Amino acid sequence: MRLYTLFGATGIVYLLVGFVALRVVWNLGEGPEAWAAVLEQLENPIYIAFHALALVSVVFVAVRFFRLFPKAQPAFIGPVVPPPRPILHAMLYAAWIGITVVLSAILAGVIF
Amino acid sequence: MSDAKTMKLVITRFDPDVDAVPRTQEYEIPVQPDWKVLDAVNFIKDEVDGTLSHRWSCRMAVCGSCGMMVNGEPKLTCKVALSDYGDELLIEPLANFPVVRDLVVEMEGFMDKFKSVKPWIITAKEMAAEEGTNRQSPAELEVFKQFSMCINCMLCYSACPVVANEPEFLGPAAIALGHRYNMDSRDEGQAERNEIFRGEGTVFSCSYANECSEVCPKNVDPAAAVNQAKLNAVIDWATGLVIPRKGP
Amino acid sequence: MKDLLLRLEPVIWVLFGAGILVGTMLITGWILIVGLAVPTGLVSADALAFGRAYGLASHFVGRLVLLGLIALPMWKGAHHMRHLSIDHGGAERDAVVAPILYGIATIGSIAAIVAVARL
Repeated sequence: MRLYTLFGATGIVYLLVGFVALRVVWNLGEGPEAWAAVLEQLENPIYIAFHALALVSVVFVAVRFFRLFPKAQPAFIGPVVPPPRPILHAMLYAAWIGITVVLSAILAGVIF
Repeated sequence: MSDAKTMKLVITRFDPDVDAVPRTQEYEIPVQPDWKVLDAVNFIKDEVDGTLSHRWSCRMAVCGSCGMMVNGEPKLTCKVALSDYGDELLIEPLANFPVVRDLVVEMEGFMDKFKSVKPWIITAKEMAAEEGTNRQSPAELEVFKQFSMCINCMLCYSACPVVANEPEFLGPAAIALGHRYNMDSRDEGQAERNEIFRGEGTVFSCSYANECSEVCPKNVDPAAAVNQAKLNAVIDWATGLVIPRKGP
Repeated sequence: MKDLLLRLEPVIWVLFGAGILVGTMLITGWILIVGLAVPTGLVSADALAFGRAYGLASHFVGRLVLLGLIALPMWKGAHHMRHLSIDHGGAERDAVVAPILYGIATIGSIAAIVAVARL
């Protein structure tokens, strides 16, 4: 199997992860009981295994896509000249890690 | 002459007048350590079996004729050393193309796609000879130079999983060529080509598997071109929504 | 249907691009904490106590982030699944598969808008 097949296959995980997140947020809107119920569901080993797979998938997608993204930028986009490819590559990692750290800290109750 | 070692080449044979489907034929031949894969195929043609058909010409990765599947991978056979492989080698015609005979594939559809992207400089008004020449700075050349290095060897079409399944897809080399003209400072045909890029053989069929760029023997990086072309085609499309185009 | 798909291709590609780029960046932290750290007890469940969670989620920025991390990965997912289908000999069935997948992503996205709007 070629790597791009695996890359495409992460699509299944992404679609599902979106729907799991939708369910979680939907339940938050339903009130405290529904919220408690959905959090308890997430403790199910199947959900935990799925989220572990999802984590592997997003890391794989990030690493592969961040490598492919810079060269997909034309030399100029209208008046905008994108940064050199290695810098753009580094910027993608910085944004990804930065957003993940901040979002994780907020969700984990470290900040806010 | 150094000590010759022997190698087995398994080659796809197909004669449309005789064979219903392609078959394979095995050749045990003496090989030299400095041979390219093409040298081995030429040896068979010249010394062992004159009925074998294959295309080749320059032997130096310029003409783009000698593309074949070597152990399942599209390769320019004049560019890959025989010594990179073991004692046995499988040689097939380029994948994703109709086979004319043995290792010779039909290029007609490929050439049609090439022509369809209008690979020439389009200007709204022809410049009179007295006006002089079109000038282009080295920086302006650099923008598309890489995409103009294609030798039409078609390896990228053999490697592309989309070409394999969607025959109407314009494909890597043709889109790279169209994109090369779109990025040319002298050209004014972007709107026409972007329309073609959004048409039936759409650039959006590409899934960015990047296989074309992996096999390209000239580092054209067609996957980069195709995906740059997508962004340009989107911007052109969005602009068209805001500012309706005049003309037909 | 094929013509409609062809005309929508630029929009679909932009949503896919946002999904793989922005979606990946937003969903990673969510998976880490909501999907793994809290359910396994690595992080105290107090972090996601109803009051706190609701407060974060109903903030203007919170709603936007949640909408992004729900809807965008769906488009990345739908588009990649379509390509996976085509790569495995599915060019013929694409006229059926593509509308179903994009339909699922559309419904999911609308549901996501409702889910964050009603908080």
